[in-house]
Amino acid sequence: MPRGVMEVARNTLLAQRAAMQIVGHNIANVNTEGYVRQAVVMEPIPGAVRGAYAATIGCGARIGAVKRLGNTFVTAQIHRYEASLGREKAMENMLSQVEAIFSEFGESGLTDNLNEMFSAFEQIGMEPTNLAARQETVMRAGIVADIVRGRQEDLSSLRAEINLRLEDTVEEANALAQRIADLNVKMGEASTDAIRNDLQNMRDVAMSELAELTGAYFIERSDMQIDVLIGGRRIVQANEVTQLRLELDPDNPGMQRVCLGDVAEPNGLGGALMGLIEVRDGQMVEYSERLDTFAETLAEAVNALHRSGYDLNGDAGEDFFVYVAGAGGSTLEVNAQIAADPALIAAAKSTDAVGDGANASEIAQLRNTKVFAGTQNPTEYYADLIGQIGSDTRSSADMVLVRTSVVESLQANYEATSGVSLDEEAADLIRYQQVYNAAAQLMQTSVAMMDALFAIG
Amino acid sequence: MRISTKSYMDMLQQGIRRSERQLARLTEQLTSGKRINRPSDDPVGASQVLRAHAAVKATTSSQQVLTQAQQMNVALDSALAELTAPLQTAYNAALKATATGLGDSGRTACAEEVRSAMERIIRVGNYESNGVYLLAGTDNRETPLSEVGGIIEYRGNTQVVEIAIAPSRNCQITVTGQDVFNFADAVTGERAVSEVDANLFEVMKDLAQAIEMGDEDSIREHMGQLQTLQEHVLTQRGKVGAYGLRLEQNLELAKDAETQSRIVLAEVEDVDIVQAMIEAERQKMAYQSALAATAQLAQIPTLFELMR
Repeated sequence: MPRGVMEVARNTLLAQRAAMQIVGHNIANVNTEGYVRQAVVMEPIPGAVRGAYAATIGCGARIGAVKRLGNTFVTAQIHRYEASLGREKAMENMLSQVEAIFSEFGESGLTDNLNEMFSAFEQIGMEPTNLAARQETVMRAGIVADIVRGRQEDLSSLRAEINLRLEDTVEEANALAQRIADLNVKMGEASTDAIRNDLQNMRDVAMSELAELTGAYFIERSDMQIDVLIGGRRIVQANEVTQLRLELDPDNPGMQRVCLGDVAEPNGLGGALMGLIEVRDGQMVEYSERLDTFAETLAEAVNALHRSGYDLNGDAGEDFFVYVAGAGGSTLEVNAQIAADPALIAAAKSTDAVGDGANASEIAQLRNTKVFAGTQNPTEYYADLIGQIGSDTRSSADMVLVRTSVVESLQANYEATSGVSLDEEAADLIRYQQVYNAAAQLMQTSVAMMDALFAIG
Repeated sequence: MRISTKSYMDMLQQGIRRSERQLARLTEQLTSGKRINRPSDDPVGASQVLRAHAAVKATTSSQQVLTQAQQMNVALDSALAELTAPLQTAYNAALKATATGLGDSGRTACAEEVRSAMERIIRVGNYESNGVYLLAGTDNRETPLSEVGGIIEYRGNTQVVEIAIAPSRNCQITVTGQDVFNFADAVTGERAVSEVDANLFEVMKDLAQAIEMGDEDSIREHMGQLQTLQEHVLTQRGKVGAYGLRLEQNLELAKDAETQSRIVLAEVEDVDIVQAMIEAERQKMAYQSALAATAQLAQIPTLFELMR
């Protein structure tokens, strides 16, 4: 009899001690990102099914299971929105850099210098023989060309930088996929709930990061493992990984595209990868093309008038700006001959009139002439481009805030079930401690009973 | 809803981050004085700001050119005004020459007065302003009036100086020496004053000769021509004055346009300091409240601390 009591006490002590260890594990991980609290499920240890009455009495309590209080559905939801957030963050980051390239609210703005150029032409119109005024015009036009080229080059550099970022992101995504596969294996080998729960927490964190980078999602297998997919194609299948890789896109010279195994540009690719590609091949291409259009239309409007005029030598004007058609933004320059000799600026409308600045005045009036599709003058066209960049950047930033708010809300909901509350853990600790103390008292009582038996005779 | 310890702290941090974002935005506006510091601050406003800046620059440049044009116009007006005296002197000398009893020496003196007046007119005709001959049209390669073999020739061209004040809209500033002095057009042979078939210098030269010869009929004929050309010069001066008036009006319009553009620019670009400071104060209080709340709530003991 004392022996049975001692066994009950022993089992109870062990069970309560393990329960307190679980509580301690929860407390230690209260701030661990992605940690899901664990709860002990106690169960009674039943006695023998047949035999003496005493043998059929239960033998205390044991830990039946250690439950992980997560929610797979909410987890999947969070991953979905984290994928969107990752995409929007990547886009916002790149668009902010594009916005910085097109800095207009300072002295280095293109519109200010463009208008200075037109003012310089206007000055020649008033003083056609003033070489200083001509030199000023060449300088201002040179600055305009430099700024246009500089912006186009910066855009190109940024697009190339995205290729590097894609490489880093793909590398990181592959590492996360491999980690998930490894954790799948470990979970299959795990002998207890407790270790499996911790491995699942780590796998969820890796999955969350992978979702943010690639838009991946998971499906559960029957053996506690997960498969990870991108648009229906497996990137992780149990313990096997199909790696993401980059290759040069034959339809997009100089740019890389993402492949999943042998499949190029897999459907359903999302996250930061998709965000980077969208900005690189979407908005940035559009801005680059509009900058080319700006440069070429402006140059052609100026050149047309310049060719119709006469310089100080009485000769017909040449092209004032030179550029390569189709790449005006990156090749725009002031005609080198005019840059070297401002007397070649064709300010006059007639050949025998060195004091005639009418042609220069007409070029100056281009600032107010709707040369862009007959609807916009140069400043209006460029201001629209800046407005578009601002609008895209603002929209992206707003989407980041919206998605962040949704993710935070979902995470708060998830935390409501899965997060650790120190107060609750303290209460549990007290509960288990009380039982432990009682079991210790029971143990002491059974020892006293044994002593009493030994004392007989 | 159950609140975990982590989500509790997360909420507090999110509140602080929100306040920090708002405060940073307002601080930037207050320190720069601008509501728009980058296109994404207000995309539509950014576009408007650029257009308004361009309008301000255009009107400023326009005013500068109009002012220079005014200076040229005023110089020309002064030059034409200086023609009045020598023309009248020549006419008076001719009138004196018709008086009876005037001897050879008297007639010679009168003829010299006419020639002297002509030389003064030639000097005025070659006046410059800022290195530009006022009466040469747009051909500034040489002086508009030159003497070749005793004959005064016009070396300028027939093109007046104009400035563009809007697309396809010009404002004339000057008149040409050809018109003022009634030279015949090199191509058509026409003159500004068709009823006088000679330029002013030919008339004055012939007048001087007629005075020396004592040819009263010729003197009176040339006096008539001189008077016609004198009135013509006054008419030309009137035109120059009218151009000056138009320049003045356009200058005023440009100033008004600049003012309007600056008003639009200020409305779109500049931050309302008072409003921004009130908003900043409000955000500062929100931020401080968030910090204070975090500090206080973080001090709420957990059950562990109370169990000690």
